[in-house]
Amino acid sequence: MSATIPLKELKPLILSVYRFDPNKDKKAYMQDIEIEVPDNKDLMVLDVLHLAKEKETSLSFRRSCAEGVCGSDGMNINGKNGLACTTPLSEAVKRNKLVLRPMPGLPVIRDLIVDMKQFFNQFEKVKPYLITKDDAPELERKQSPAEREKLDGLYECILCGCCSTACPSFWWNPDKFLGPAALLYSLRFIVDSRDQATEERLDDLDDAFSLYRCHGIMNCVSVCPKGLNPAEAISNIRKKLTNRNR
Amino acid sequence: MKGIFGSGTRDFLIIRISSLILLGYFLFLIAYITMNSPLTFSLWNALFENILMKVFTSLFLFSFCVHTWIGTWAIGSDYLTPDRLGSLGNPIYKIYRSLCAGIIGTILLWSLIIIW
Repeated sequence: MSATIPLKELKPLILSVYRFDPNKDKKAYMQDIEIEVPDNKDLMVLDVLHLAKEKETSLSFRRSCAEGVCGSDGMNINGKNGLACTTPLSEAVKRNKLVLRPMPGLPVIRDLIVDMKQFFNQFEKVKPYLITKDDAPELERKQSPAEREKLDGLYECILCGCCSTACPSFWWNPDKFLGPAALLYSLRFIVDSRDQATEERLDDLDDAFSLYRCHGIMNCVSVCPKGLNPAEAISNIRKKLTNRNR
Repeated sequence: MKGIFGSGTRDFLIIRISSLILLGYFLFLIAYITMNSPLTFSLWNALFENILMKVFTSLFLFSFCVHTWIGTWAIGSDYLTPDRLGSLGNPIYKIYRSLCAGIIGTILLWSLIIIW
């Protein structure tokens, strides 16, 4: 990329990136990589990572669609979780320095790549699929536009993990508290008119940790790259549980 | 774990209801002190001699203790875990809970003796 841009339009940028290779490093460290970025164009953080990889070929990170759909490149960008592919440098860089770390709270496999097993274990617990008891209809399970509208703000989650790994309650109890992403998905199926396991789903959440360990810290809301509101979803599940118990 | 009082929802509701009782008690006291300024010992004594005030204060004390019991449990189960403290996690948690139970129980008993 740098070869196609005139030199006078380039500016230096320090990329401070978390490095850890379990095969050769005893402990993690931060490596400063000096790169040049276009002065007249706002790159995304993912572009910067590709530029850095030209210099440090061993630098590892996940990516796939590069347009905020697959959720592969969630990472901690200057202290705040986000997607590298949709975060512009102009928003992220402070004092000409970009600091990239893996998403917090999950074990690091290598560099910016984390082990998402714990995250998906919790996701699996909410049974993220339609549960029906009636026989399958001939064609499809129909839904009115109003019923479909209830899923807005819930179905858009791409499971990048930015919210759950920004949540201190998830750091403290990653095996007991389901985390904002899983709970958002849980509500997505609780409010789905086609689902027939609402009571069972609510029963599963009515313990001390799964749902109620949310302390309303709201990090999930401030970091969600899709602009979703997991805290509101959690609050709505609480309302459903509370109304049910009256 | 199903919660201190049988379910997460029940714990959640008890926390909210008890906090409303605590708020109501404090607002009442602030209003009473403001409306009876300057407050004298005899006025204060008469207030707490009233049977309704004794019942309200007892309700406040029970709410305070239940609220604190659930709250301290939540804090302990966030921070004092084997994940964070290794093999010392469980013993430290048990000591912490015993201390909480002792302090909360003493406050409740002592306060009720004073009030009644």
